[in-house]
Amino acid sequence: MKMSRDHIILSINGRQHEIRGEHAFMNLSEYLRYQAGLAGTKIVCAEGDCGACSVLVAKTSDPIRDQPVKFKSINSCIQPVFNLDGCIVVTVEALASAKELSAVQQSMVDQQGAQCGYCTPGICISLSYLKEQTGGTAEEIIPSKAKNFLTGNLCRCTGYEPIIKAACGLVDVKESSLSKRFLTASQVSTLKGATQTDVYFGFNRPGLEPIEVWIPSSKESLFGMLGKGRLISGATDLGVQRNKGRLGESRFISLQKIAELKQAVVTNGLLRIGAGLTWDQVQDFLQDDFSDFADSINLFASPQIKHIGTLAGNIINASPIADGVPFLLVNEAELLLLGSGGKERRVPISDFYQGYKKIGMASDEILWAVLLPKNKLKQRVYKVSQRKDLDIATINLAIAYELKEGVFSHLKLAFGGVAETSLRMTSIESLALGRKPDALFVADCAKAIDLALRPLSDVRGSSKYRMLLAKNLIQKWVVEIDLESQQNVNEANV
Amino acid sequence: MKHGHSSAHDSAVSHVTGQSQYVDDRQMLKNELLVGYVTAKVACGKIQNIDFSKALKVPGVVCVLTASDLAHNNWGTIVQDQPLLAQSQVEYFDEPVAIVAAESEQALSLAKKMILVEIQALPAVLTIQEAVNKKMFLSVAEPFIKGDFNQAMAVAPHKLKGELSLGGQEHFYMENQAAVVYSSENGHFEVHSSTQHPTETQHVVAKALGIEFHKVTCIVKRLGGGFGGKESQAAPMAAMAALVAQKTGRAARMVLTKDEDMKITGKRHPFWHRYEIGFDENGKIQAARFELYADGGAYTDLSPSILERAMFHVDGAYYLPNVEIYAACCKTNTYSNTAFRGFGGPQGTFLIESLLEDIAVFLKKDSFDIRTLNSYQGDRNLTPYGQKIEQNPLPEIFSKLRKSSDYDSRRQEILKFNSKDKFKLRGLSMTATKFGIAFTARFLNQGNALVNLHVDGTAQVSTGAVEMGQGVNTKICQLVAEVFGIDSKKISVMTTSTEKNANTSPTAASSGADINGAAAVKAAQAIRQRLARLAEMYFAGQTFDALNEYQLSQSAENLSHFIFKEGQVHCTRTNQKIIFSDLLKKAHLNRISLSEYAHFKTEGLGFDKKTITGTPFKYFTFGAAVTEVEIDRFTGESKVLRTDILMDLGRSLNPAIDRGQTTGAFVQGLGWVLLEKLYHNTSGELLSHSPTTYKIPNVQDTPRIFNVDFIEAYKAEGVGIGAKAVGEPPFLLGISCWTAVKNALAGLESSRRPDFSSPATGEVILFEIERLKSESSL
Ligand SMILES: Cc1cc2nc3c(=O)[nH]c(=O)nc-3n(C[C@H](O)[C@H](O)[C@H](O)COP(=O)(O)OP(=O)(O)OC[C@H]3O[C@@H](n4cnc5c(N)ncnc54)[C@H](O)[C@@H]3O)c2cc1C
Ligand code: FES
Ligand code: FES
Repeated sequence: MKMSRDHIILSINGRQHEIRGEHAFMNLSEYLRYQAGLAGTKIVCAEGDCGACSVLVAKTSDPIRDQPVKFKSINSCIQPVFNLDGCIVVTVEALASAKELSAVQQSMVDQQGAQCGYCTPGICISLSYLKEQTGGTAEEIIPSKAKNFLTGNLCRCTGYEPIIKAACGLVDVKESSLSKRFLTASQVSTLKGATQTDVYFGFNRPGLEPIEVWIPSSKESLFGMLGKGRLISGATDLGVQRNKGRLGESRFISLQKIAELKQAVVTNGLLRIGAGLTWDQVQDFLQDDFSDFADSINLFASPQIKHIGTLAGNIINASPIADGVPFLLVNEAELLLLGSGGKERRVPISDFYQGYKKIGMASDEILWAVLLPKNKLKQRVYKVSQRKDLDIATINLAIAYELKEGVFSHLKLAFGGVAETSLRMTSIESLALGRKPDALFVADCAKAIDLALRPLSDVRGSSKYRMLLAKNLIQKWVVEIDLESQQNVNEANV
Repeated sequence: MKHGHSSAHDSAVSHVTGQSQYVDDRQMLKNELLVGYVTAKVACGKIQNIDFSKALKVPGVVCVLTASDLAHNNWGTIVQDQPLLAQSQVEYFDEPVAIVAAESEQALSLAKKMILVEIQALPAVLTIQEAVNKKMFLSVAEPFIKGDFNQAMAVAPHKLKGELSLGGQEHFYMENQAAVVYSSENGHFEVHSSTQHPTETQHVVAKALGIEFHKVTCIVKRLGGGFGGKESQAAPMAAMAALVAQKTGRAARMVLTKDEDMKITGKRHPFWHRYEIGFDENGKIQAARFELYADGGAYTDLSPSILERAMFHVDGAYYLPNVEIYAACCKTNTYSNTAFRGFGGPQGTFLIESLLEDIAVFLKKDSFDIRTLNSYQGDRNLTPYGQKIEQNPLPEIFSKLRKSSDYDSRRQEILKFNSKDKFKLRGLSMTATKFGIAFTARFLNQGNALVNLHVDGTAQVSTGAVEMGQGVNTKICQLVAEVFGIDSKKISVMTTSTEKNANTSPTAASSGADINGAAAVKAAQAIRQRLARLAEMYFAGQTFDALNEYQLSQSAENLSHFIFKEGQVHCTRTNQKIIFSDLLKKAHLNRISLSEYAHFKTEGLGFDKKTITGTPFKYFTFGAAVTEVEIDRFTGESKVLRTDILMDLGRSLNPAIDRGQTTGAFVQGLGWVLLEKLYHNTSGELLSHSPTTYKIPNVQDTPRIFNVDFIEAYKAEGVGIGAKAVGEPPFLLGISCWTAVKNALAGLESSRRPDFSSPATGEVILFEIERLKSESSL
C-alpha cells in the first residue's frame, strides 16, 4: 500500500487549494461560494439541470487516446470536491485578465446577453468552453452549432437570442486561450503528481456517523477497497441524490483517478468501453461503428453532464429510462465485472436487470468495462421527452435489425420508460422474423405492446401516452423503412 | 446618452465577471443563522399538534418558531387573509407551518426531519371546475357588458360554444426567493430581500414583528429575475427571517432551494374559460359572451386585480360589438397564485385568439384574414370597458408584418407540405397584443426619485424601481443623463431602499421605467433649472465673494436657451459656455442645492367598475407575431420553426434593451403554451418542482428563425418619456405558438375542429391528433 494523503489538492483560478475534512465533502459550488469567496458561481437547482453553477475543469489524469489536458465545462452543484483531486478549475471570476474582459465577456456585454445576470456566469463558462473547443472560425460558430454548447444553460430572461448573438460574436477573435493561461506545463505536472497518490480521509458529523472517502490512484489499491464504500464516477446521478437527501451512504470510493478505466479499444470486432469513459468520449468512440447511437447522444443531457457522467454510471444506476441501456440490450453487449481481488465475470446485459433498480452485481464488484460486439445491423434510436433537449425520456426505443429481400432476418428491439427496467420486446422480435415491415406487422406489434406493457403514469407522461408512443414509434420506424426503400428504388432507377 | 441609444445594461460588466451581488452572495456573518421551514403534507386540514422538542435537541439548532410567535400572522396585498405560518387551518400542500433556525445547513436539515406535524386531513378542492360547482370564490368581478349580446347572438349566422383550459406557469426566476435580515440597535432591522416591492416587504416585516414601519429598512440591490413572482410573495420569506432575527438578535438568512420555492410560492393563474360566440359568413364577430374562471389558489393575494386584467384583455386586439364578460376567481387548495408577467392579460387574450383560429377553421378561411377583419380599426374602436383605442397602429402592424414575414407564400408552402409529408405537420398563425399600460389600481401609478449631483459632475439617482434584469436602471440613467447633458457613465443608479424612497409601488405592470423614470427626470429638471439660473447670473458677469453670494430668483422664466450638452452648459443667446462640473462647484459654494427629490403621478387615470366608465389605461402597447410550428405526427412533439415579431414601442429609449425584453417575453410565452406543465398528484402535491421535471424553454426551443422589429408609430402619451412600456406586452405574442399548433392540427382535415388545452405538450397534441383522426374516419 502506497502512502496516502488526507486531503484534496485542487487548483482554482491559478491558486492551489488543499481541502480537508468537511469542506472536501461539499459540492464544488458550495466550496467556491462559501469557502473560497468566489460567489460568482451560482446555485439555482442543485441538480445539474440549469447550468448556473458551470465551471471549467481540466482533469490532469485523463489519458484517453493521449489527448492533452483540456478544459471541459461541468456542473459544480452536483460535484463533490473530493471527486476532483488533482483537477484544475476555472470559474467566472478568472475569465477576465487583470486589465480587460475576455472576448466572451465583451461579446456578452456588446450583445446585451445578460439581463438579470443570474445565469450569466454559467453562460460565460459555456461560451468560454465553446471558444476553447473550436478554432473560432465562421463555419464553426454558426447559431445552430453555438446552440449545442448552450443546451446545459437555462436563461429565463433573454429568450437566448442575444446570447446566441454573443456566441456568434466570437468568430475570429484573437485571444490567449484559457488553456495557455491556466494549463501551463508546471501547473499540470504539479497536479498530475497529486493524482499519483491514494487519498483517504473523513470527518465526524454531530449526530450522524462519520463520512469517509477513498480515492485510489491505481487498480491495485482500488481492489483492496471494493465493497467498503459506494463507487462514484461522474456523480451526475449520485450528486443529485446526495443533494436531495436521498443518499444514505457515508463512505465513498471515487473512481476518478484509475487510468485503466479509461481504456477504449477495439479488438477482434469487440469494442471495449472502459467504465471511466464519459459520455462525450463514448460518443466519440462509437462514432465509426454505431453512428446512430452516437448521434443520439446529442440529445443526452447537456455538455456539462456528458463531460463527466459515464455510460457505466448510467448502466449501474439502472433507471428504467436510462438512454444507454436499450441500445446495449439490442446489440447484446456484455458487462465485464471485477470482484475484490480482481476476479473477472462477464454478464450479458440482458441478464443484468432483475427488477426496479435491482441489478445482478455484488456489493464488492465493480463494472470495469462494457463489451460491445461490432455488427452490420441497421440501428435506430428514438427518444421522446417533454422537452427535446436536456430532458429525461418519457420513452425511448432502440432497434437493431436486418432485412433480407424485404423481410426481417434479424430484429432486436428494446424500450425504456415502459416497465420497471428497460425491456427487450422478445414477443415482437419473434413475430417479426421472415415478415415484411408493413401495416400488418405494425398492427401485430401494437397487439404485442398491448399485451406486454403496463407503463406507469408520472410527471413525464401518462400510461396511455406511453402506450400510444410505443406503438407510434414502431409505426414511424416502419414508415421510415418504407421511405428508405423507395429512395433506394429511385436511386437505382436513376 | 439619449433616447434611442442602445447603451449596455448598467450591470453588464459585473454580470459577466461574476461580481454582481445578489442576496445570497452577501458574506455570512460569524453569528448568522440559516432559516428553513417545515410544511404541511396535506392540501387541506386542521393542525392538531406540532412537536419540535426533538428538533431543538439537534446540536446547532437555535430555535423553532410557529404562528403564535408572530405579532401579526396574516398578510396580503389586497385582503389580509394569508398566514405567514399556518395557524390551525392548512389550505395547501406544503404550506409552511413552522420555521427553524440553525447554525449550519446540516443541523437545519436534520432538525426539519425531526419536527412532527400532526394534521387532520379534510377534503380538498383541487380543480377550478370543482370550485365553480361549489361556488368557492375568492372574488367575483363586476361584469363588463357592451351592446346587446342576446339580440346579436340570435341573428348571428354562425355560432360556436365551448370551453378552454389554460395551465399555470412557474416564474422560474433563476435567483430563488431569498432574504437576509440584520437586527441592529434600538429594535431596528435591515432587510435585504429579493423583492419587487420593497415597500410592501418593509410593511409585512414590520407588522409580523409588531413594530412600526420606521424601524424596518428594506434594501434591494438587484434581483436574479422576478417576473411578478416577487411582487407580493417575497415578503413572507423576509418576514420569517426577520422573526428569527428578532427572537435571537442574530443575523438571519433564508434562501430557498428551487424545490422549496416551487412548492410553496404561487404561479401564473390557470384559467378555465367558457364562451359563446356568434359571427357572420366573413368571420366578423357579432356577439360574444365570456365566463372567465381563474384558479386563485388558497388565498386572495393579487388575484382580484389579475382577474380584472384578464377581463380587460379578453378582447385582445379585436373589436367586439356586443359582448358580455363575466369573471370569478376560485378558491382551491393550492399555493396562492400571483402576479406573473402579463398579470392575467395573457389568459384573457388567449381566449379570443383561440376563437379567431376556430372561426377560420369553421369557415375554411385564412386566420390572418379573420384577424384583420376583426381588429380594432377606424371607428370600430370602443373596448368592452368603454375606453376608446385612439392611436391605433394595428392595421399598419398587421399589413407590414404580413409582408415582412412572407405570410402568404409560406401559407401556400405549408399547404403543400402538409399534403405530402408523412412525418411532420406544419402550422402558421398570427396573434396580436394590445396591452393596457397603467396599474388598474390607480394609487399605484406614482413614483418618487432622489437625484444627488456631486461637485465633480457625477450623479447618484435613487428611485423605488427594482432592477431585475429588465434594464430599468439603465433607462433611468439614460433619462437623467439626457437632462444634464452628461455621459451616462457619470451616473449611478443606486441600491433601492425604503429609507430613500418610501411608499413606492412595486416594480411591475411594465411601469418601472415610466413612473420612476418620470420622477427622476422631474427631479433632475428641477436641479437643472437652478443651475441654468446660476449660469445666467454667472454669464451676466455677476461674481461672488466673502460678502456676496448668488441669490437665485424664483421667477418661472423659461430658460430653454441654456443647453446642457456634452458636459457643458451653453447659453445660446450669449454664446457663453461653462463646464458642467465648474458650475456645480459654484452652486455648492453659493449654497444652492444640488439634490432634489421629486414625486410623479400618471395623470388622467380613473375607472369606475360599477358603471364601466373612465380610463383604466394611460396608453396601449401594440404588436403582433407570426409563428410557424412543426409537429411530429407520431409523437406530438412540436418545434417552433420561425417567428416574426413587429411592435410599436413609440420613441424607444434603448432599442437593445427593448429587444431583449421582447425576445425574453416571447420565449417565456412560448414556454407557457407549449412546454411548461405543472403536475400535481391526486393529493394536490406539486411533483414538477425543479428543472428536471418542469421544463422551461431551452436554447434549442427558441424559434429557429427569429425576426424582431419595431416601428415608431405613436409615442407614449402623458408619461413624459415617450417610450412605450415593453416588459409584459410581448409575452402575449407567445400565444401565436399555440394557435399555430391549432392551425397545424386543422391541417389533418378532420370533420371536427381542433379543441385542446394549454400547454400543448407532446402528450396533449398526440391525443388531439388521435381524436381528430378517429373522428375523421367516422
Ligand atoms: C441534468 C442531468 C441530465 C441527465 N440527462 C440524462 C439523459 O438524457 N439520459 C440518461 O439516460 N441519463 C441522464 N442523466 C443521468 C446521468 O447523467 C447518467 O445516468 C450518468 O450516465 C451516470 O454516470 P455517472 O458517472 O455520473 O454516475 P455516478 O453518479 O457516479 O454513479 C451512478 C451509479 O453508478 C454506480 N457506479 C458508478 N460507476 C460505477 C462502476 N464503474 N462500477 C459499478 N458501479 C458504478 C454508482 O455507485 C451509482 O450507483 C442526467 C443526469 C443529470 C443530472
Ligand atoms: S445549480 Fe442548476 S445545474 Fe447546478
Ligand atoms: S439573464 Fe436572467 S436568467 Fe439569464
